[in-house]
Amino acid sequence: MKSRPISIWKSGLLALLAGCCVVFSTPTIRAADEKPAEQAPVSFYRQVRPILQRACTGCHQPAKVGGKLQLTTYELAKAGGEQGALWTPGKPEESLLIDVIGGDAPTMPKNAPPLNKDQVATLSRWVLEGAKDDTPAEVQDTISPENPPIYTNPPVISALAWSPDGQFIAVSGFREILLHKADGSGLAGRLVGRSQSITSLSFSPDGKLLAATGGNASLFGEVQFWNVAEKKLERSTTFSTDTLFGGRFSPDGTLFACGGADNSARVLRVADGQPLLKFDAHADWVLNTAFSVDGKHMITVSRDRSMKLSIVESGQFVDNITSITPGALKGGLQSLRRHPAKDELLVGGADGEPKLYKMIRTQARQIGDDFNRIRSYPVMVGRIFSLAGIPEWRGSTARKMVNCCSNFRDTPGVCSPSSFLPMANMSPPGGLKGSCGSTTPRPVPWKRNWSRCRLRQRSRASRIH
Amino acid sequence: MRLLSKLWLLVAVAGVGLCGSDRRAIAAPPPRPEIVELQFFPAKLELNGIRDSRRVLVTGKSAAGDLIDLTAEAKLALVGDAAELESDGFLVARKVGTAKLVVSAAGKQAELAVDVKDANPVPVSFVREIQPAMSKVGCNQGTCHGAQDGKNGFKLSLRGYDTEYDYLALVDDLSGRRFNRSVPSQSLMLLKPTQGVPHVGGFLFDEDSRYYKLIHPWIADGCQLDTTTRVTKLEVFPANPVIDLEGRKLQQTVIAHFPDGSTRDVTRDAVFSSSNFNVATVTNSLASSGVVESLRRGESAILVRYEGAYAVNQITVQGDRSGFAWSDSAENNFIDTLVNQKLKKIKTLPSDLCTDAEFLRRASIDLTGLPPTPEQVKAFLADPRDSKVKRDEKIDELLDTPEYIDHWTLKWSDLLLSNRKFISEKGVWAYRNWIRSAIAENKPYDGWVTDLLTANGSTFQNPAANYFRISREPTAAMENFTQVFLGTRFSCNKCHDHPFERWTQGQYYQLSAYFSGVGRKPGTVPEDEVIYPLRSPVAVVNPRSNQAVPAKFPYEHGGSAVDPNSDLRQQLAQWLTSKDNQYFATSLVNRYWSYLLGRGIIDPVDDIRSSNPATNPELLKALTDDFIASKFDTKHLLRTIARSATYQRSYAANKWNEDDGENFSHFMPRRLTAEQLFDAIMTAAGSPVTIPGVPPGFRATQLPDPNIQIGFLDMFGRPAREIPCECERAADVSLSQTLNLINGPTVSEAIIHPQGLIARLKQANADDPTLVREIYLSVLNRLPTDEEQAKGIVYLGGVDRAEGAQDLMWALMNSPAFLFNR
Repeated sequence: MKSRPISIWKSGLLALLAGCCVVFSTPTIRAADEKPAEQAPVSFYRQVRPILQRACTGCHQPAKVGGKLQLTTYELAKAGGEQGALWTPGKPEESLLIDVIGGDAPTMPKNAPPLNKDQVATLSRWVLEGAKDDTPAEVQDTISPENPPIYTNPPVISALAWSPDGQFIAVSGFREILLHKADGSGLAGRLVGRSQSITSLSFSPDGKLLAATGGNASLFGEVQFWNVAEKKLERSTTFSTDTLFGGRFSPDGTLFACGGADNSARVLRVADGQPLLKFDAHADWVLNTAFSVDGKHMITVSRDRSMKLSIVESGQFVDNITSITPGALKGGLQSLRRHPAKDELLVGGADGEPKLYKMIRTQARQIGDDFNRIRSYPVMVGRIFSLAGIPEWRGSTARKMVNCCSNFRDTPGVCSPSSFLPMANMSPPGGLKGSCGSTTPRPVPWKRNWSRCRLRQRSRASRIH
Repeated sequence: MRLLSKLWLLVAVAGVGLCGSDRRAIAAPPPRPEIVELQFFPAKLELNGIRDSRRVLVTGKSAAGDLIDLTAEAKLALVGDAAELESDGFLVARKVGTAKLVVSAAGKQAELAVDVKDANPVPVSFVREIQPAMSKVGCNQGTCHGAQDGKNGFKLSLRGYDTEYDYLALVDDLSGRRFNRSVPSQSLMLLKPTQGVPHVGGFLFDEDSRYYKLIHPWIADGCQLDTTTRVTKLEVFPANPVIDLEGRKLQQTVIAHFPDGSTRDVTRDAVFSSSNFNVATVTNSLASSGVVESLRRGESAILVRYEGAYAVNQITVQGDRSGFAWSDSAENNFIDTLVNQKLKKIKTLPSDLCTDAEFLRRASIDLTGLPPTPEQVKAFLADPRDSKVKRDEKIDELLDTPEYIDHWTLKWSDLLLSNRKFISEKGVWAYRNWIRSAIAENKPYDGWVTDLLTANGSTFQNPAANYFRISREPTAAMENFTQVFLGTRFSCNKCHDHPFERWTQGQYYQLSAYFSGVGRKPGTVPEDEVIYPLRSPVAVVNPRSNQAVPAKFPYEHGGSAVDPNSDLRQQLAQWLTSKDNQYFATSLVNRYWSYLLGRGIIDPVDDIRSSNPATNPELLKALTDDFIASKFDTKHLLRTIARSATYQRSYAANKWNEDDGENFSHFMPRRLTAEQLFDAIMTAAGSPVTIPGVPPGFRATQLPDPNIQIGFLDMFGRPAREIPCECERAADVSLSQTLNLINGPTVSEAIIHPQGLIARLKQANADDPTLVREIYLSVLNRLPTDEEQAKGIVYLGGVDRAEGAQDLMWALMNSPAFLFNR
């Protein structure tokens, strides 16, 4: 052939030769691209701080100050604790920080798995490079119980709870819980903790403890138990690498359940905060929990669109209370309330349709069934953030008593940010008096904003039915 | 048969040889010619708002007239305080007034007027600033939060097609988790991209970046959703540039047009990608956006995307063509004129015409699916008339053969998914016969497509109605319809707006609604089904709005208005087959072109979209016009293409077109399709065809559907007829195919068949030269060269003659000259 053949034939020919003569050509293996010899210096803000936040600041934080050491900011860490300075710049081998986390039997983090090799290497190199701070000025954390947050803009109210005696309303803030006097006469206390976001608030049945779930998104999850009378943090327990959700006391007040962004639900012992149970049957974030009337069962709802029933004592999965048929439920479930006296469960979520379910199945499971559903309520526009019933809530009159909050969109296609209603709750003693959290687009003084919201909820509630 | 000697034979007579590929090393940046003048685009910078940042493109003109981009190296100095010069060369309005930009580059200096018309502070817009930022850094791309299920619990609409969804995902999901109005810097939507908290998607921008400085105030101001309208059109400058050499860099500027008439320079926020990154790459980072670097001679389409709008900039890299000289060659018709125009522009020299024998084999396979018989070859070669005359005559002759009908019936049966799985065995034969009659009568394309789309009645009595027996759901029918008759893929926009096109999810359901009036009921005989128009069409519901969607065409064209009261399918057929419908005729012409030339002018042929531009738009337009002028005559179309010199070029490349794969400067060989190969083996071996389940003599091409089991056909890529995509027919070359050809029963049984060519030659006591010549004529459809003849005779002399002849035929059947149409 005079001219060069076109290469379309080549692959076929190669296959042909390989097939009949067993001619193998060894592919040339190229070395992976060499990394540049000089590594960028370790960043405190981007590399060191996340390790500290995940592994250390559960104890070494303003609300606990284990070892008289705080690791929430560079300055606090540099100041050291009761054992002195944490590091000597440039000398990791002489630094306490590296000593306690490194070696064969690291003493820190206490009661937790040791840091992995890469994390230890990162911290060592950072000390070797001079242990410098590169935290951008505007993200420095200056908030503490003595120096509570100052609001220039109202935060979203994502959690709200009435005390059982009706004296207080606990409201989520940024880095804190605001304990309001229920008569509207002012603040009873500001409970400044470590978590930036508070996702749920609940009082123990005796009203002595206030439990909050929350955390910092993508960093850690936290359960806080506050002594209501003393306005003091009784205990803080951190789990997971993201916020926790949907905390609930068991009916006898000894246990506390919550969900998490790690697709797990947990049950803690209230007395010492120890985790008793981790429930892993969900495939997506667990956003809310409830106990059965007798406290023996836990109910969890998740963004995986299912509501699951499990046994508290053993952690054993019992049943999918909702249908498991794909598409039966259109969105993730976010809200869950149990009837005050019955094992009936009100759920709501991304599809905007509140539904009432019975907890215990009375009809054999079939693929695609939805036997446990007692009834559905009219679809609300937007997501259902929370559900509430009043103490007199009764099965037959449930529809009247159900109170839902969802995002309202004024006209199709346009969302009005002035109408977020992320949290609703009903006052226990007062019957039909409701309250809800809100956000507004304009900066409004904090307290006024909240009380306006409470007023507005009354009209909203009437609009729902 | 001894394997080693056979292998030797294979190499000796089949002329196989590895072709080397010389990968040219990427050239160092070429020297810059002397610059005589600086040119600016735009000629004057006008800033119409605080966020209307602009940059100037600086181009140097050489003495020879070449334009060299100097934007990157130009030194800019601003005189005046109306605007501020950012480090990346963009000017930002500060106050109303004028200023002057002094540009120095390549030893030259020039000035540019700057006019600030408006500098009032305005709030950050979600639509115009936040969403583009999320697109640019890739938050909403398909591999990240734009994925079907999002990532790590956070989902955005793919590439930001759904503003409201994205807004709610950021602001409303999980009770405001992702923003923090009280302390904006602690917002997750800032902490994640700056890696302030762990982020699997990594670090995207820092606290000093432009994006941070837009998102931060947007949160502080309350995360407002504005109702700003989206961009309507994108323009890219310089448009369709020709870059002289490899190693050059070229900054592009993207101007977005908004419905209110305003424009913006969105170069920094637009997303760029190159269709052929071997030819040209394009930068797409925050540091450098829209800079093309030429790597190799060739063409590449730079796809530019900005907030649901798309534009394509066709880059031609000329490369070093010193020594190139164009020489005119015969042009048979307008095709050659337009192809050569393009070739001249990109300095590519077309190959010479192929030989008469090559032409005969090529045209026979392309038009009838069968290679010529030895007698046809001999007659054609012996015809003393002018080559062009006899080729033209041959084309007409081939177009009138019964094999032509079989071949094109097969093509359309594939596209229309004629499959007994859907329409029963009886239905498959009926449908096949209906398609056959349309081909045999050469019915105008618009006519028979109208018959198909408006068909009603029993599928046995009116087989065209099978179209709706196969596509049963309005959405499925619509997807098949668009891919086959419009050459576009609407399946993407079922779940989201089309990622590379203007098609929206709404249009998917609107167009589907035209198929919502199709009723189906059992016929009077078993297995039959009756298609009838429903009195009230079933609602087609868009799952996003959960509302019934009225029928509406995705685009209007200048054709005559449809009667809104007529049957929905009548309306659709009228709209579709109008000569003003820019996709109907074009997609057919492009598809047929690819059947003959091996590649569509737009390729893949059933994926027409603005980001997949035609390599020769003028040619496609002329072919379309000619097809419409012929009143949708497909035979005319095939004749026109087959008569062109472009179709008749040799597959052998020359020095000036060896790297061309898309401009039709030489013929592109392609493997015979499954049915063609099967039939060609039988024809070449002179062996009768016996396929179980069909009458004797029935060829593979004539089979009604793929449910007649023949492993050979499936191995060579016979489509299952389940999707209306050309890609369903595999055209690849695989090891199992090669082994099958070497060792498989299909080839060997055909060769040794007692009624086959070799058996007949043996019976006639043919001598060695005759044996060699006849085998070459039958398998490769040409006479052997003297050298091949000699080698063949030597081989036959050394072995048992009959077995040797079988070996020779076997070797030739394993050669590319047989397996490929070239």
